[in-house]
Amino acid sequence: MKLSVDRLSKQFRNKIAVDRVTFNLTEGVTGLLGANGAGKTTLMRMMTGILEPTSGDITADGIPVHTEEYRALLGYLPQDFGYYPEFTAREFVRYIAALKGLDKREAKRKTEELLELVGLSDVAGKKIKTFSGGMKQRLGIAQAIVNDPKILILDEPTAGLDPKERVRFRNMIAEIGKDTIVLFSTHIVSDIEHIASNVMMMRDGQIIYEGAWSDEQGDLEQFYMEEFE
Amino acid sequence: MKNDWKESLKAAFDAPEPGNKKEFLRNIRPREVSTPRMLFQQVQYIRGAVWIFALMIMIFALLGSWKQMEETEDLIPVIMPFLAAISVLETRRSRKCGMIEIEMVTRFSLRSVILARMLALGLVYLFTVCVISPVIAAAFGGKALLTAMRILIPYLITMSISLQVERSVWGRKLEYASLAIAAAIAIAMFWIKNTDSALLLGYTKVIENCGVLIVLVLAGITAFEQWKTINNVEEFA
Amino acid sequence: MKNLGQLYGFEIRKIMKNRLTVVMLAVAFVFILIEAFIPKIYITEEMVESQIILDGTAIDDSLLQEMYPRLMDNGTRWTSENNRYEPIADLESNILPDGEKLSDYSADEMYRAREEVIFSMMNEDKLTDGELQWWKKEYSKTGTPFTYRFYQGGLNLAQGMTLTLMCIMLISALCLSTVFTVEHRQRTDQLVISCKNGRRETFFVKMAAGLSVVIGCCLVSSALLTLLILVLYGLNGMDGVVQLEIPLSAYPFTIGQFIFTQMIVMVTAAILFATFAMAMSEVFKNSLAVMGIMVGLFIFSQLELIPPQYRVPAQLRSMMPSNQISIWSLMEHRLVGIGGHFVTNYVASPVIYVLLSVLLIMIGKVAYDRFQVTGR
Repeated sequence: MKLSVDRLSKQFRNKIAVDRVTFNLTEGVTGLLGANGAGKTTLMRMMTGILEPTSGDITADGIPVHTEEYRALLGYLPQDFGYYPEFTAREFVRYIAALKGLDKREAKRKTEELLELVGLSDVAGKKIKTFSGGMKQRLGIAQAIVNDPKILILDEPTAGLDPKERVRFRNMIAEIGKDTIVLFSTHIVSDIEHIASNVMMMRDGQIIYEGAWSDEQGDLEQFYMEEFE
Repeated sequence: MKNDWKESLKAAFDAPEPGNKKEFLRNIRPREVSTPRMLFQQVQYIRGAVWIFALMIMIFALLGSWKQMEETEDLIPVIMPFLAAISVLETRRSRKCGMIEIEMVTRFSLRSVILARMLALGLVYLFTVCVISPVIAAAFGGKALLTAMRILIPYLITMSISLQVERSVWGRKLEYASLAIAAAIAIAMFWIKNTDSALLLGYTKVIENCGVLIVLVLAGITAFEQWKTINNVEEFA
Repeated sequence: MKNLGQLYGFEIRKIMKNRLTVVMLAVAFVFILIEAFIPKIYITEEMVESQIILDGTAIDDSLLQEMYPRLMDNGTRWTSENNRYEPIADLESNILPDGEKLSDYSADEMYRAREEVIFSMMNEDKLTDGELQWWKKEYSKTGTPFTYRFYQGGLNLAQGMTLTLMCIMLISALCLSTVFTVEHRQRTDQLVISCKNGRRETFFVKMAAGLSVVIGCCLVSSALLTLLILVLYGLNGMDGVVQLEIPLSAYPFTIGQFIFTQMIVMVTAAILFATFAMAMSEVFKNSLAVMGIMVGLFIFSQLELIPPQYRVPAQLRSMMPSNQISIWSLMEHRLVGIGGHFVTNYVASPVIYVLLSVLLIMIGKVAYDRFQVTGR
């Protein structure tokens, strides 16, 4: 599968949040680095179809971003997502599965499988409002992959997680990335170093670096600090 | 040349940098803020929609009285519960917006803030009732006191129940509990207005005979609930 | 296969899990109970027994001649001796001008006076010649003399519908106005609209769920009220003419037919309330504003703000649900003309409510489709 972003721009009044961004992604994990206000979240929202671009195109194997077909391929974990406090973890994942078009039996099976995978099977019947931040984040990843997406977009998925949970998360993403296009944004350079085969850096709405990062190129964190000074 | 001298002189006679400036500023005691000033500050943070609602009720009452629209006298008691609910909701905004912890550690305690808001809203609503009661009474040939009681009773009932419920565990889980209570009281007022005349007469007779006592008792209960609310502000707000 | 059934189930669950919904349903239930039981306080067994005596008697000269000697203070004072005639005297005094002596009129004179007053009121309401002709035909369908029926149960049921409507309105305003806004408030909108079924399907499923809840409440409330009234007062007299309660109405309805018509109007009004609450809350992204608008409209529709000489606005006001679901709607004789044919408000209102609901759904859909996640 090929995810193409072609001259994508987004302007809010007198601020250009994303400025003529062009790139292509294939299966594997791509890390998106950038400071606050660089345009990462805006870019990701446009790639999920929840924000309309000012100009440019996004297609996945030719399927435009605003179609149901595209959304059927998509999994998304927003930076700051909400939940229904009265829903249990199980109900929440099943609800998202229904929204993603899974039939009842498949939704039930996948829900149990994913809750087991993210380590929430013992609290599956508990209400989400009782969950800690890390548990909510794990629930978030479960809902994002319930439909076995071909494109997975994660906006700062490790923010607020303790180091152990962060490692667990990284391993999960690395596993998923073997046959899925994964794009995840972060401030934490070490997250990218460990799992991303491809790196994109964003500043002031533009991609300033795109490609693999090898050890020969030096320390990624050092490069990042220099670029964003 | 002249400008160069000017600059040189200025530089030579510039006052030196103050020493211990930060320490000095830190040691200055903050200015005393009087209660009316604090009240005025809090009034500014009460949402405009709350004042607009009170104003609209006043306009409706005055316009209805002027145009001799009979329903005015009956509909004001139906609307008053919502006024009470809105004022209770306004005083619990801190919780709703997740501001409690921040507000509890500021210079003015959260108790003072809530007391100020309650006081401001209460005074304005009292003024509203004092204005509209004699106007409605004069327009429809009733007594100002009786009209005031008919308006105040549903307001005070809603206020006292809402304050109690909002403090409860149940009320903390239910975001618009006050509105539900207001809706129930409004339905009751509406039903009394529309129902059989025998029942309406009965209700009117009760107010005529012991309306003052009822209002005093309800006002006392409301004041008590407000006192409890302010004392248990960590639970309420 | 689209799994709309699953989504529908979840949306219903979201509405019913909202504590406010549960509270409002409980409030509605309590008020229906009160509405059903309160008349028992002042309608004594003695009153019922005395008024049933005349059940089935024609209101003609022989009944009037029997009544007149027993009237006290021109039919304003009642004792156990004469209270059986109270409904008859009330009917006559509602027809005749204020202050007229009831015993001066024969039955024929009373019915002629009724006809004159009805058509005089129609002229004041600026009815056209076509409408007047239409009413002359309808008027003749209600034969005179009327037959008195003891219709207390039917009357209580008709009056109870007004309260039920207000409960339905408040349930829509308080509970359904959060169906869409809860997604924005809880920040789940990003997840929902990025899903395959997150746009069109979710919108219609949410609408369907909200409508189901409110129609369900409407039907259950009405069924409960009917059952209680049946048990407490019986539903005798449903074949009595509506003129027994509203003598100056020209509608050729029985009380039963009137109640059935009101039920249909109430269900369509419930649909209108629900679609307004849901669609407008998505347009404004603010459920409190919508609550305020709905309660405000309901209350202000009760006011006689529009003089009858402004016929169209005055008639539109009379078609508002709070005025339409009322026993006093039987006094509304203005008709709706479509291509030379006339229909009453009882026919036009449900159609208008449904058409408005469709329009609101379309507006809400546009707002929902246009929604984008920004600024967080």
